[in-house]
Amino acid sequence: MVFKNIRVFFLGSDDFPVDAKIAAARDLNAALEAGWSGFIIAERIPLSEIARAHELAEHPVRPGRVVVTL
Amino acid sequence: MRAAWHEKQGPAREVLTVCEMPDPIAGSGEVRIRIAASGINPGDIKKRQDSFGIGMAYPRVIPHSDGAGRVDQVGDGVPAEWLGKPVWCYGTQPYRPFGTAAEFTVVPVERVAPLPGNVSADQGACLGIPGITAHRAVFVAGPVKGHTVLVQGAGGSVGLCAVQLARRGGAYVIGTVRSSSEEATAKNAGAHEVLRNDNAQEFRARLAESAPDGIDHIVEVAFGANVEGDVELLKMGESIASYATR
Repeated sequence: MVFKNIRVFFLGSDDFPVDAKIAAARDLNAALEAGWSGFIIAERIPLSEIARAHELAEHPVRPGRVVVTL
Repeated sequence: MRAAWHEKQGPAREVLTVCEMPDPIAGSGEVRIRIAASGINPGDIKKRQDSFGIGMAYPRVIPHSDGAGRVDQVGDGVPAEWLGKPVWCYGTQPYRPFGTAAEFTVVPVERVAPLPGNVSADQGACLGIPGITAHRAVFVAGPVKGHTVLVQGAGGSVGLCAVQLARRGGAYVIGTVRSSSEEATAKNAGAHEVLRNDNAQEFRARLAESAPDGIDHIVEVAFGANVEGDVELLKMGESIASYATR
């Protein structure tokens, strides 16, 4: 491999600087307000069935996110 | 309140319980949110399974970092304007025991954002971890305006957010995907071009046409698998931001 003075960042979201998280939330909101459709919601599962929701997140039956509803 | 929790780690059906526990109270600098939707992320699953081998961080854990709902109580020092506001929140987990899989969650107000009027609680509950990870992954090396950004895994949750945020940041965005459904997701998120990367030779030939001068910044989901190829694609002195590896 040729080393080309590349900078590498290994990111762990739990430990981002607070300012970076706040900037991210602001920009995500701006995108949504401008009409970005966001995620496909694949499953909406009530809290009483949370174990099934976790199983669907582990083994998806269709593309998209799993949301627990209350 | 009604809440889901686990007191040991293992398969979902063996460890998750749904039961009653006392309502939490917003402390200083915190808000309490009546949760409408609670998002599930891979990290939530891994913490329940003990994939990291670090055991239970607290004796009882209510899972899920991210959620959305309405503020129904504010703690000391938090402006009353938050009361009643639809919001989304992030970072209720880890470093705190009680996440969003409950009727109420309590979280420091700096981890709460207003939910725009045209956005559902379901969407809000999905934003936190992938959206914030994507934002950092796009901008950690600086602004991307006028740059060519390659998003590896552009059909995933972080990937599609990275595509959208890089596009809004003024980059030329190329996404890579492995299936036609991911291809549709990446295009819908705003990618200028979407390439399949399952055939390495074909991928490199197409990318040489799309970005003849090379790539300025790569958002990477599979660092171990892709790093050698990534370095070849990048211009001298540019950057990779990786949030996962395999």
